[in-house]
Amino acid sequence: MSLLAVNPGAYYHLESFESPRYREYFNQLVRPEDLGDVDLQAFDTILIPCRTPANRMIPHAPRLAAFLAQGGTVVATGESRSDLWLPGFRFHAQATNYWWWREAQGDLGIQITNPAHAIFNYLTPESLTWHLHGWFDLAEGADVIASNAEGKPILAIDTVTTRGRMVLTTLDPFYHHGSHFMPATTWFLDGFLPWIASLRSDNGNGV
Amino acid sequence: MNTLLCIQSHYGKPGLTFQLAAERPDAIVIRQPDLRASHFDSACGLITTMHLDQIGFMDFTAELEAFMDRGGRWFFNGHIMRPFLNELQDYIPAARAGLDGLQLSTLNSHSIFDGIDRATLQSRKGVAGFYGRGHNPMPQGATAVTGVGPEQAPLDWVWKRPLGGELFSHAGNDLPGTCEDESDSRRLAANIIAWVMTSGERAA
Repeated sequence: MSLLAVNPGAYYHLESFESPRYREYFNQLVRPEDLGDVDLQAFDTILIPCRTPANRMIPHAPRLAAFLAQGGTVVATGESRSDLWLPGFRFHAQATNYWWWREAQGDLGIQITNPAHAIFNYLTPESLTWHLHGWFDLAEGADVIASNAEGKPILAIDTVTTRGRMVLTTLDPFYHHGSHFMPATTWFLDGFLPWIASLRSDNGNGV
Repeated sequence: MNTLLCIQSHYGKPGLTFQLAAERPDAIVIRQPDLRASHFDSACGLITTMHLDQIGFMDFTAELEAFMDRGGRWFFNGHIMRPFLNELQDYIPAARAGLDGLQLSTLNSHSIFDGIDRATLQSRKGVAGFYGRGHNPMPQGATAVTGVGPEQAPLDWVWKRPLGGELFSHAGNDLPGTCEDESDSRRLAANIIAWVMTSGERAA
């Protein structure tokens, strides 16, 4: 069992998926348009990176729903309007403050909602902190890992909407890591990708 | 008609440059999944964005080459990660981060910066790096326009291709989005459109 990553082909996806730092985590890459040609049951996790154009994923919403219904894990990072092709939640945009650290208070306001979660064996609060683009309205019972300053979810795991697991974040680490900009995004992926791998090795009980 | 081909690769509304382009009767703003070889037939100007699906764009290298051969002008935003033309090579990130490594230098003038104080492009709200943090290697014979870092690596360059056509490479986010001032963004976008469409007077 392994991880299938959707590759939309922008430079930041190519840098993230093809460079030595992370490429071992992606057992197979697939173009969004080719999702229907792949046996998804050969994988336990499908990852859709930041800034995957929603118009290229919406046609595959039924395939992802079927994959989740059979217990699969779908990981979707930010700025992809994942709420348009995954079930049970809504995305809300918020104004992005790129210079919060230069302001008097110097605090982006991210709150760690579930500090005991196993993901924090891999991530530090600082590795979640660069800027925000929005937040989610989630299903009742979803496990909120981190929130914005207003207490709205920005990183969560939903095991209640489907028989599978959705790992959802509004953060956009692949975009910035792949742009060689904002070191925290690389710190995030340094922990996030091994954590995703750990979910597979513990048969999904890492939640 | 000589057309301006604008390839929109992201989901949602077009960016500023394509919004301005869409006001022209000769512009075609096309979502990349809908791009066909025939869109290149009448094009004399081409603009691609930082979000270009570079794998998908490789399906059109023959059309791109033909477009350049007949004198087309292409404005490229982003990091080159695929050899769309034989002379192009992968992006190289700046060796040093920090203010020193991100310092911009004006190496040559160019019409896309007409009316712009290029010193203002160095930072937004005091934060450097939005403009660019590395370079796409220049083909032989290209002219560096903007440098980055102490080595003045060619972050912006323009290349008059020996076999025809011209390419302006900006190795960063979509260029008009790097301005602090919205009127500068609009001017840059208009200048980019004007530059690529100047080729319309020459192209078949």
